[in-house]
Amino acid sequence: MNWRLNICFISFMLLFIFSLLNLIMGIYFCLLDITLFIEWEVVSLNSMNVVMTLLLDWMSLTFMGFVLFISSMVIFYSYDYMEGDPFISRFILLVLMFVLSMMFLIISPNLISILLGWDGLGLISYLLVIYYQNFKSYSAGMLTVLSNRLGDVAFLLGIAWMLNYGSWNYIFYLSYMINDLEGLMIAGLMTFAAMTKSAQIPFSSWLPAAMAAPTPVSSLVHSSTLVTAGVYLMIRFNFLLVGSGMGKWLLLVGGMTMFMSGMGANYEFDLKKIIALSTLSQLGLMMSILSMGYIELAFFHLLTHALFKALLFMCAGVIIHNLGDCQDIRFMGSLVVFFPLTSVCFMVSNLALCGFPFLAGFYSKDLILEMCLLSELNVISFLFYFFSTGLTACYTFRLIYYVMCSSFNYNSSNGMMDEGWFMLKGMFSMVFMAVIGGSMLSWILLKIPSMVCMPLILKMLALIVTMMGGLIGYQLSILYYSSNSLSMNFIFFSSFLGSMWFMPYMSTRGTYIYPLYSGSKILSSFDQGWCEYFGAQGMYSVFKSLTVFTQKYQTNFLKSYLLLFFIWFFFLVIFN
Amino acid sequence: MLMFYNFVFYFLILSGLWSFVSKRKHLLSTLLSLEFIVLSLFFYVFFVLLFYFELYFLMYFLTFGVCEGALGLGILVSMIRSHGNDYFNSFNMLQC
Repeated sequence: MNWRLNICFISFMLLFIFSLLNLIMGIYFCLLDITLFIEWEVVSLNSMNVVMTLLLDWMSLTFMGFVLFISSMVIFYSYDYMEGDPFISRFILLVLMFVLSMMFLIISPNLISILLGWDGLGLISYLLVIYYQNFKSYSAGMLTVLSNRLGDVAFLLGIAWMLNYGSWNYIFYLSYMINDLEGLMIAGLMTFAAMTKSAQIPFSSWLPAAMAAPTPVSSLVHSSTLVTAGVYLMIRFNFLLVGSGMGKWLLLVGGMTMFMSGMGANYEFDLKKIIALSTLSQLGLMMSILSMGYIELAFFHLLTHALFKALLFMCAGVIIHNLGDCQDIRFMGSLVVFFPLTSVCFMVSNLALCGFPFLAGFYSKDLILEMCLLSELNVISFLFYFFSTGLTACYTFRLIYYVMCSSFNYNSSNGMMDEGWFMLKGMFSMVFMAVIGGSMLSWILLKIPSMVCMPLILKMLALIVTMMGGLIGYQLSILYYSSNSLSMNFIFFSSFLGSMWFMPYMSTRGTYIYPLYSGSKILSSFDQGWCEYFGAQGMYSVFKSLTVFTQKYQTNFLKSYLLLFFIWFFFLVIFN
Repeated sequence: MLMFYNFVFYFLILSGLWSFVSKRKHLLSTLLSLEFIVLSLFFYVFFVLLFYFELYFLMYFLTFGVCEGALGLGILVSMIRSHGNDYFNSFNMLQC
């Protein structure tokens, strides 16, 4: 590895150093319970102060450290993945601007500076999704940016409602906002914004569509940072959320999202879409656990999920890159023979996703499920949580079967090998963090251990559900030939569950079909009809006839004017 | 005493003007009538100035009248050069 003066290596070094700095400072702040507000007064006029505030507490510093770490690994990885791309500088600069927007969002206690990061995230994720310039990427980018834009509108309305409190520093007003109508409005609008950004149930169709982006983008943006921005906003607003009753709504929405995407991932055959739906499922888990008030658990799961999901996307990227950009899992099989190191990382991240004991995901996920069992939940949410955990294991083991264990399905003349050294090195750092990250964070973040006391069957429930789900997933996906397939007999349910409860169709065709149809009617009756009659062609013919009429009376013999002049002169002389 | 013959001069000028505004085909006829008006005016100014013994002023008048005739002929020539003839029908007020 020769360290040339490449934009990838320079940004990797910078981001890595910053991430280490932030992580160390975050742990320091967490243990000593320090919160730092750094303010810069821009303009001050009588009673109006324009102040730029930075909030540095353990949550923002730790989150920044993780984001910078993952982005440094992703940039290092993309040196190899995007090799041969002529516009790699633009790509790296877009990723760096994305990280900058995320920084703005994380360290701000102020709605306006969050908006700076929020809008920046939406814009740059659009630019990254349309990076490959074909029609599918364009339509995916349009779906992404317009869904995010709905949340931006709600955010701006929330800023307008926030004027009632005198400043936009929401951090200081959360306990006062519960009692007012304005606070309820702000809670509702912020929940709406977080629901669009984190792809909850009505707005979840953009996340699988945004997989048209390059894989490093998916690994950074759609697994760890962009979609967790909504969760982070809800963590910051959590006191208001729970106190105003929006938490009940968000619990159900998050639960439904978990359930829907878990079911959908079992029917998908595109590798990146399966991983996107698993991200969606974990996001639903984060949203529902923080709507119950457990913000440290949600934050914990956010961080560990970021680690293993970014790793999972990186492994998927290696596979896709070597298979000649084929993303269909029906063409993959026995890849463990060709990619030994990548398979290690793949398996580790998949098991961490399932909650395999003592990997990264276990600490956060198991603790979440135990806290759910201890709190007063309704049956529906309980079912959502545990059934979705089983479904997670189900699609994970289905994916492992298709990618690793089944018989070989690709071309026989291939050049698949595991020798992208930069990609491997990036993945190794991530797998190191994925293995030890969970236990590290559980020692650091959860300062006071919570008392968990429950009967044995409930304690074992998470493990039982996971193991059963895994078994079912593996066995159901072994391919047999049959003429009477169950999913074909119940084709409505299969298509309903497999296409995310038909919501993508509603988000795309449902929104454009009537405006497009009425637009064609307007075109034919207004633009090409009455507007032409009253406007362009009609006025043209009126003016033409008037001008012809006028010209008739102006095409005279010159002498007539002289005659009139003479008559006038004659009268002057006679009646002088 | 020749002032009593004003009527004759008025009639001369009037007839010249009449011929000027009449609808004719050629520009040259208009110029001719213009020259006729100049000539009759010359006649009239002669008899006015003769009464006050200041006939030299008539020379000024004559010079200007001759220049005006020359100018009119120049216009005629340029019109023939551009339009090919000097008919009045070949140009109108709208210049289009």
